[in-house]
Amino acid sequence: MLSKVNLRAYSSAVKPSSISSTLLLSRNPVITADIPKFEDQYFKYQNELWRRLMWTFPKWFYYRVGTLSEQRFRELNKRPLYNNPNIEYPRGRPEIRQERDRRFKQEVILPKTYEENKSSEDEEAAANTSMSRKITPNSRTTKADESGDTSSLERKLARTLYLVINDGKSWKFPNFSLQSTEAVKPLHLLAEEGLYQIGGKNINYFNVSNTPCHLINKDDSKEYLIKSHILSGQFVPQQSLKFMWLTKEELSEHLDATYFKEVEHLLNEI
Amino acid sequence: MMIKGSIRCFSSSSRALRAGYSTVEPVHHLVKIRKAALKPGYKDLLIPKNDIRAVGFKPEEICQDRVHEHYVNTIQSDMLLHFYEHDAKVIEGNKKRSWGTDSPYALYRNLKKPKGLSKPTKDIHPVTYKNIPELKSIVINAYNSDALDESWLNISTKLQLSQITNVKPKQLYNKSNVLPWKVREGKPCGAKVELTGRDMNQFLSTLTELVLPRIRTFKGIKNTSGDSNGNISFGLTSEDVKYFPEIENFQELFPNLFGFHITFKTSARTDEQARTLLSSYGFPFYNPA
Amino acid sequence: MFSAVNNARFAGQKSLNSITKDFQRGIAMKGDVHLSNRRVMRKIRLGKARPAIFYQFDTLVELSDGSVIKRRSQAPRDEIRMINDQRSSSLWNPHRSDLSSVDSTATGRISKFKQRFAAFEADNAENAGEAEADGKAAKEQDSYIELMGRNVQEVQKGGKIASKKSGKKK
Repeated sequence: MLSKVNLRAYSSAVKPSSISSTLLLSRNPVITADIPKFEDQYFKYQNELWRRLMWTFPKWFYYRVGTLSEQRFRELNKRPLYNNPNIEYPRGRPEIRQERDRRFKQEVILPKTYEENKSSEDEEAAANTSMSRKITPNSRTTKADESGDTSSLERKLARTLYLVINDGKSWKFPNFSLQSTEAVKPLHLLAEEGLYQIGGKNINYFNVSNTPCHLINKDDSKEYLIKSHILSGQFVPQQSLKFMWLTKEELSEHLDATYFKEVEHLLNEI
Repeated sequence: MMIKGSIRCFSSSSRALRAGYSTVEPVHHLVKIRKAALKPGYKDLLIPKNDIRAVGFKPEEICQDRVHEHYVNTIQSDMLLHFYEHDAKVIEGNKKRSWGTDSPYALYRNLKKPKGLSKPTKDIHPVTYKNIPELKSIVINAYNSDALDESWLNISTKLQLSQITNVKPKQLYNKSNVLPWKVREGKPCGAKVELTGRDMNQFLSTLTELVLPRIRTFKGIKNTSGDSNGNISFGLTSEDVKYFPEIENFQELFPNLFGFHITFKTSARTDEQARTLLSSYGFPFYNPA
Repeated sequence: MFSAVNNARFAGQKSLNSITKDFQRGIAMKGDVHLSNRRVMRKIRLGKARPAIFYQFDTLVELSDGSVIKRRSQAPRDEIRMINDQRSSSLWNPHRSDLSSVDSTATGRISKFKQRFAAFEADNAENAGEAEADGKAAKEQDSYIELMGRNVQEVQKGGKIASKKSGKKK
């Protein structure tokens, strides 16, 4: 009897005064990551090697002799230097196979599929209407980046953003604790309902797992972190709440230092 | 005697030292060496393929790979959390059984079949940071029965696959004799290609972004698909193939189109894990009625 | 005279045969292609094979939502503009209501009916929409989760599996 009292089993742990679930809501990168210059140069070098090793472009397959497209192609791509046996070439004899000099990489110029407009005004007018305008990749920086709007989801497209809210004192991840009057709820549902309460129902989000990804254990409280991604919709703050979408580096500036150290490994570098 | 008991050489096996019976040690098989390939003229062959000096060197990292970036940045950590199970244990697969060690005959006999089944199965380990499911390769297999009649269709099949994937395909040959179908052993009949790396990732994104959404009848990959070892496959018909951008814009160059089977080889141990991985790459799944 | 008639008959028969065969197989240019046996591929000696790298262009692909993708392609096109793709497909975007599932090219009776009376359908949907607003959001969530395959249960969990192949011998 005495031993039973003294022994502390797992089931009889001291009940913490509060259990709360914290939502780690992230927006995944939309565009390719920004890579360092060295990596970029490495890719370029490998790409050039790859282009050098490429086989000859089979123009006889795509451009049949006598067609209009073949004529246009021939105008753009001139024949290489003819290997004349009577001429001495100081820089090496051309090695012509299938109308290509094999000493160099082949560069094929294609007829443009889009209309090239002369004046810029026409271009702007055509940009919205014509289906044959030139495709230009969109800018990697957005309006939100330029204006420094941290509450926009369309900032830092190449990075993972995390939602933080301000409870009047400090910035933190949205944290929801169970009211004592409520019935016991699973942690992920607690976080979900809390999110809809503070951010409106207009959020389509994906909960990675019902299992929390991290536990911050304190003497009187247990804080479970639930990982999820926002897929579409907007976080529209109810009750004039302040919120921001921040990257990892920005979080280190805004979050409490000890708290950031606790959750640092959960955050995405990119 | 004592030395023999304590030191184990390569030439002796511990079983032979057990009391109870005596055995003749098995003779090692002779290793066949193609001595012709050891000529000094073939010295270049010894350079590994990823060395820039090798003749067969092919640059792989030619550009940024957004699909791989997505896998590393998002999918990997999500899968680790998604498949986390508290107190997960290794589920042992059915293994081949020994015939016992009581006689030398039983010792060196081929192992017994697993209990109740014909096939041995692998262990299923819990997902940790070491074995997060990963897409290893995509195999496209285009068996072409029409090529049995018209052998030039083999060329069309190979051309179609190489256009879609940017990789040179391999010729397939019949393995069996079925006379009513004109199938004869060794007859060429279609092509296959195995994609890895950037080619695989580009094919993957082409499928999910450009091709599959345009197929009207496409509902997703069947949930029943899979070989229960984490490899999932589905098929495209010759009608679906024309939505590949290379073929769609040059239709007059491809008078004959052929359907094929696509197999996703993953390192996942169950189909459930493989399906989760593929759906995170953007492949929908559905339950067939 | 006789031979000419005969020839015509033969020709007619032949064309009929080819039509039925074409219908069966559906192969274009059947019988028109004759590969020469005289062209022998040059043999590549051991260790001299270069890697197979086809000539590839960088093609820009613009998706229907305006995002641009760069892809390597052998086809000589500098850019491709998509009208239908993943971004406008209702299967990939189950939460979006602005994507109409009615095909503009559909030929069936029901689709024709739907196209004709789409206006009435929209009115009904609006009336019902207010009442169902809350339920709909939950449903969208559900359908997405289903898409991610979370509700899918693996039948086989243990090491034991029944092999799919029947035990026939080759």
